[in-house]
Amino acid sequence: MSSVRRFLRRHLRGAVGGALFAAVLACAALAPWIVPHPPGEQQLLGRLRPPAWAARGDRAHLLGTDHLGRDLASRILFGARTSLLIAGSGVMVAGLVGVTLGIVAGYRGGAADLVLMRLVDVVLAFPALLLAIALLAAFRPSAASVVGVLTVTGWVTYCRIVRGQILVLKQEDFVVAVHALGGTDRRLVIHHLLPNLVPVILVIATIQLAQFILAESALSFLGLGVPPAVPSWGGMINEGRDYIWNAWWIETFPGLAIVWTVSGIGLLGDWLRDLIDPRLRV
Amino acid sequence: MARYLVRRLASTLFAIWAVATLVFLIVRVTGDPAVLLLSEQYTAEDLVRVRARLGLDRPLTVQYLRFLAGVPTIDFGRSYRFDQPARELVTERLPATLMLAVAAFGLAVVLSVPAGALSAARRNSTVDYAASFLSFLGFAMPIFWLGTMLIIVFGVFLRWLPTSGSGSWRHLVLPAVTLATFPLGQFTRLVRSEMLDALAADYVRTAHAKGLGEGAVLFRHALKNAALPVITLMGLTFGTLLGGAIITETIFAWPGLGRLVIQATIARDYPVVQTVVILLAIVFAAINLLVDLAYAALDPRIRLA
Repeated sequence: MSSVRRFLRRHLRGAVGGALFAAVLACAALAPWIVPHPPGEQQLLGRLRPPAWAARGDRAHLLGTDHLGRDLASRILFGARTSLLIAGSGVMVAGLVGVTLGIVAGYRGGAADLVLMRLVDVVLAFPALLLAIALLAAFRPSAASVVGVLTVTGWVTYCRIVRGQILVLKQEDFVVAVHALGGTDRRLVIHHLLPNLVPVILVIATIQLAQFILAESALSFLGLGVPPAVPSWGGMINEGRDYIWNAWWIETFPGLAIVWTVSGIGLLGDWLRDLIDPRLRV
Repeated sequence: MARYLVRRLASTLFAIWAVATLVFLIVRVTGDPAVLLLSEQYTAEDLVRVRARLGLDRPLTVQYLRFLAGVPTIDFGRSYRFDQPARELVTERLPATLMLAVAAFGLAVVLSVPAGALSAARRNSTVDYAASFLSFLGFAMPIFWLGTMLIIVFGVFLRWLPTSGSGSWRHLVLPAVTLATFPLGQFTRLVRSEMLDALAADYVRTAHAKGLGEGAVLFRHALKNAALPVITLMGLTFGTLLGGAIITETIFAWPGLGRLVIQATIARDYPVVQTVVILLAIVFAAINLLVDLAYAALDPRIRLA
């Protein structure tokens, strides 16, 4: 195989994934300036309009309107913000908690390690969705409660993998050297161990972002996510369910937005993983 | 083996206890369930009466011990919404959920083994690329959207299959396909990678050298050796399928546990939520345990470690 083909094979997924994801990021960032209509604007006379290219389509509404006459395209663009904001916050909080506890477990060892690993086993022992439902039964649906349940189910991945990495790193010569030179634990962790963990954390975070976008949309679809007034892809698909017999577009386009976004991030994650550590199980 | 068994059993019981405790705490920390049962204008006497009926007037430790005593029999009192024990509501609906999960699981297993084996045998062929593309789509598509699209295509436009409810095998087709898609992709990917490892082994070269046909090499020699990790993943996935069934049931109005627990969650019908969560947690933990034990029985390296 020529080197050009090998290069393409190695990096094609990264390029495609990056392009798909960049487009979503741009939409989310620019949503307020590029949407044709405010996402909450209702036009009761223009309800359930099909997409612009269909027979009864309206050129002002490219992807049609929903049951309240709201512009579907505008809501999908704003939905990108909801998705990325919630899933992104979830990844960050879960990452912060998981990495910190993973370092504690791996570096300190002993009782802290034992307790933390038991806790990880417990969370991993049950389907994440079930755990999320049990938690959401007690909290009012909001962006914060969704981020909360994503954190509770998501920190374990970082904790488990970071702990394993630390156990390996602890055997390295540079750790002995830092100690020999009088470096504190704090200095060792922040300046020497953490930088070594960054690539792995990046891989986990990317793959988890895709998973969290799916999870957020599923919770919103079930009515357990953000309140209905906030445009979210899962919530839109939920609202459109009563109209599937005469308005297929309400269900179709928000789902395509999810598939687009998750595919992009997923490809990016697979590519990163193969570059950094193909055997990493996330 | 005995020591391994005891250790695994202990950690399973610990996990169930931890989830039960978590569920108990969440409900108590986030407000008084008695208030939720009363209408907007309630008197102090009403509150006392309802709290006494639910046992909420007892000390927290007593409540906790009574709650734990309910775990083995999965008995957490009567539903707030229906005048019926929560366990009855749940066990009535369990068979429908199991039927859906088993159908989807069977579908995923039956399709993924040949698909994965063929992808590995014809690496980098069109079949291989098609299979990995479809597996990837299975990952990227939200299950509730896939279900809705199937309803629109096969129910609304083609009118081939019923789109909701249960009763005949025709009702089962769309929910089972929806639920099977994600595990199908996962299994196919794993069968493929395990088969690639197995096909690179010396005994496969020997089998070829002694003149065995390709089918025999692929399915009798390589597949057998690739089976162990695949069986493990499949076993663990069955529990996750029960979680996915919750969403699938909501889309197709399938009368199982999923719809019950979602409605109970929205209405804060805690006894029902607790019953479903603890029941599924026990089922899930039991499956994990069985998979681990089967693995240990099949592979001496694990039970001796």
